[in-house]
Amino acid sequence: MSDRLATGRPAARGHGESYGYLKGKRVSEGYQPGDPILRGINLTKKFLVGDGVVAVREVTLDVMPGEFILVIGPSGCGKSTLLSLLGGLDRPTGGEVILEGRKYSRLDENGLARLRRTSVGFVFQFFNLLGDLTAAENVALPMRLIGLTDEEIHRRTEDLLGAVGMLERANHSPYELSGGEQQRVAAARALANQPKVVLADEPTGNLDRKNGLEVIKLFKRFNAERRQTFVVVTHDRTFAEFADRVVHMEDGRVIKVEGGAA
Amino acid sequence: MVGPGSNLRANWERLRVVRPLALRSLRTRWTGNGLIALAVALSVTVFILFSAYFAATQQAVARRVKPLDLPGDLVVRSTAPLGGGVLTALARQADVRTVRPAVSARLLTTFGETDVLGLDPALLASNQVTLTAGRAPAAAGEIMLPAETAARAGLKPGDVVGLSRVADGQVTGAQAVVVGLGQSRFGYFAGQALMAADGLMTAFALEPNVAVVQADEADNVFKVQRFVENLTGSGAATAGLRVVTARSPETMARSLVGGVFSSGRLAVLLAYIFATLGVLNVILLSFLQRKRPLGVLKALGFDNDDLQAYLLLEGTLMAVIGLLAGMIASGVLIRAFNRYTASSFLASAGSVVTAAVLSLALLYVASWLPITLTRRASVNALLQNRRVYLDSTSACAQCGRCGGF
Ligand SMILES: Nc1ncnc2c1ncn2[C@@H]1O[C@H](COP(=O)(O)OP(=O)(O)OP(=O)(O)O)[C@@H](O)[C@H]1O
Ligand SMILES: [Mg+2]
Repeated sequence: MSDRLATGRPAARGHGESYGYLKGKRVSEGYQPGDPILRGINLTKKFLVGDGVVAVREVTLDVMPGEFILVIGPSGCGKSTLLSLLGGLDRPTGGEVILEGRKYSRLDENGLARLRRTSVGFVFQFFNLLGDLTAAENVALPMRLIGLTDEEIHRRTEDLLGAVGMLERANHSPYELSGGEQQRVAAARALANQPKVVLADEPTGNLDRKNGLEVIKLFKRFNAERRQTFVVVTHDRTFAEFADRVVHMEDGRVIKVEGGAA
Repeated sequence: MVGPGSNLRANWERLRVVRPLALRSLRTRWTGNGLIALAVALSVTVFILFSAYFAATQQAVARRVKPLDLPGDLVVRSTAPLGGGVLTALARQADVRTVRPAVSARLLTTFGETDVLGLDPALLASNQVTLTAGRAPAAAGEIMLPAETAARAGLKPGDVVGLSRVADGQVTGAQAVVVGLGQSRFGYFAGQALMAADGLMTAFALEPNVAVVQADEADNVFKVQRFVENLTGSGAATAGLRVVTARSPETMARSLVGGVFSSGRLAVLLAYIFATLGVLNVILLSFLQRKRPLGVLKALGFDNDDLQAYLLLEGTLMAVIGLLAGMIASGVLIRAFNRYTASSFLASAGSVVTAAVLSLALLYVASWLPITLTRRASVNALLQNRRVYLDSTSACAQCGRCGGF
């Protein structure tokens, strides 16, 4: 871990290709370019606590490829819940999620995990970097999972950390980084496997205004340069200027969508 | 051990991905993991030490417990007369060299009740008898008494004793001259008075109920033993027929060794059960502290089999570390005991292998709970550090009244 950028140990090849992928080309039935890349149809999520809490009520949301969507709403309105349904982190009580033509309801837990591996990147409010690993190793981890070669992993890690301005701190532990720095590393990790869709839950929630703005601008840059689709949950209405569409939620429902063709 | 249905190659590649993670987490959480390894090391040490102690004890006891001497290679006994059939069958058996009929009877004497053994005079020759006075009986009407019996009754060579036997309401009596005092060398019949077989049988109208058999060679003793046992099975012989050889349990005090063993094994087993509970506790704690990172791994696309491999690998590494530490510790202790105390411990490869198997089993049993919880929990539950349940699908799990983990 001295001169060279340390990204951990060599990983196996092909571990990520067991589900619907052939040499990097995504194989899925019935999906045409130009269709919504991510669709939430009639999504409902009910939690069985007390009399039951309905966190998301019959929400339908189509996300077009390359779109930058902001989800805004008061605390407890179901934004996080909706995002985790879209990312397959939780199962809906009703409705369906379709990512590039693949229905989540048809996938078992391991199938969903393999889908997330290549197609969805997550950024969380509390960064969620793995404390055991360095910044570079955190970024490299998803690539190990899909069996990229060492050289490729090294090249991409360097590229991503450079893009988020964290190359100098590559071999630092997350504990040695500021909140803004951690979130930039987390963004680099979310983008590691070049997912078509990135889901971010209040990525600026724990950052000051300046750092928050920096992270959103970073997303916007990736969105513009690499045509990656972003769905970002936030409290901060001033970020609306970066978004193609702003989805307003209240009490588990989408009450208004601003901007875009829809 | 990893995913059911997935092939070896996939598991191997899984291991390559999770190995650096497991190694790193072993290092960063060395306190908790150290406790686990320590528990394993302690149980390994206890196990190997106990085994070495038992091995030494067993050897010492075996050295002290000698088979009791018999007048022949085999002694066939019966509660009833043997009958001519058995004796002839034995005499005809190819591997038998000699069959000497003998008789053992309980008689009333002027000095109390005693067991009298009537043997072929050839077996009463002086080299088979340890005399303290007089000579061995050679003819009818002569008896040799155990020295202690004679001393108690105030008898000496030359005295005449009266013997009687009650059978079917009839009393038969006879007299015998004490010709000698001493013991036969046949430890199996220790404490019995000795007479010539023919004389004893004639005096009391007895049939032989003992046969002293000599095999043609030592290797055939077992064959003869089987032959007699088959006689019993076929019904050709009287009931209650018993074959005694130098290897028979009744000629060896084996029970002593067995007793020491079974209680020691129980102690060792208890040590492992306690260790498993302790390890389970620490592993569960380590899981509870790590719900969020495990959720992150799931979110990044680690599937359940990957995570299982990760947790199992971590457990295996700790088991191996604990095992090595325990092996070193017990080795050092055994050497120290053998050198500085009078004890002699005997370490064996078998006990080390058993300790290794037990340690791995211990870790796998203890890892089951966190692995199952990780598999069943939704990604969100782990990510948000919520309570997780063994049964996450049913509504009962979500009500949370049972507490979860
Ligand atoms: N695991 C859960 N169990 C029970 N109720 C839950 C669970 N997760 C969320 N909820 C409830 O669902 C509702 C929506 O929660 P959610 O976290 O989606 O809101 P949010 O819009 O993200 O709020 P915030 O802006 O404060 O993060 C809330 O009322 C919450 O109490
Ligand atoms: Mg939220």
